[in-house]
Amino acid sequence: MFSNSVIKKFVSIKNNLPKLDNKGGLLMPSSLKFEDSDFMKYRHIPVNWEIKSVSEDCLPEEFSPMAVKLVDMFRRKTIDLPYEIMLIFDYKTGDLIYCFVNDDGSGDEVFGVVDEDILFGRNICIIHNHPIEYGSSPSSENFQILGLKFHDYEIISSNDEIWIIESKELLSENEINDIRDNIQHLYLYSSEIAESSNENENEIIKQCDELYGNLLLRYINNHHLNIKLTKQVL
Amino acid sequence: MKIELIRTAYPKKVDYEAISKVRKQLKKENTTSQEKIREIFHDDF
Repeated sequence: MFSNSVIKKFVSIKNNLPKLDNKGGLLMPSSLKFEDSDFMKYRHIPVNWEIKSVSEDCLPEEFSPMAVKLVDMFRRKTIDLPYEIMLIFDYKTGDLIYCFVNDDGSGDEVFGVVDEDILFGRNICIIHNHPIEYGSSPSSENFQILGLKFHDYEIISSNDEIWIIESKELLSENEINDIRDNIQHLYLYSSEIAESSNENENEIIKQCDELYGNLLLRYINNHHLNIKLTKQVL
Repeated sequence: MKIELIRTAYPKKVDYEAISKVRKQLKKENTTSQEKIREIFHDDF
């Protein structure tokens, strides 16, 4: 038989773990009162248990075990999808705050409207997936984080990689436009270089993706402003 | 305040039209993609 202290310890551990339904979906925290039909769709997406886990080593130290679990589950649910989903969550508590599912679009975008008052004062991370027909690297539009006060981390989950942007300082509109413009140009110049040195379309795509990804990592991490970009290969 | 969040991805396709536009611009400026990348990196490339 277990002693009272051991039972208390088990209860404490259980209370700190994310709550999952029988399909592996994270349950909406009871603190959230709004109806969310996109979240209902998200909950019912099957989980791919065959892929490698996203562990705490893949994510920033500040992420709680519940947040790590949320990211892992997001990747398992979205890895086989042809469309994009975006979750907004608190990376210290693991609370899911918004969920947007774009299951009737072309697969290359997801959008949603959020209330800044709900997010203010929280530790916000936004995660979205890039379907397999799209590049894994962040696009210039994925750097909206630079202009949002409440937003600390952006995660992009793709078939074989996870990209993490960290930016806790608010940049001016001019700086943001400059960075996004340069990122867009790095993508275009990478395409041009890859196309001029390859004939095979698959090779062009592969070289462009690799070159753009490497240039992006170097550009962001060498930038004089305090922005961090990391890539985890899974 | 309400804020619109948009997330996009680059397609795994060769956009020949975009590449052609880039080449025209590079030709007009008498430069190359490598040179333009160097400019973005302030010659540290």
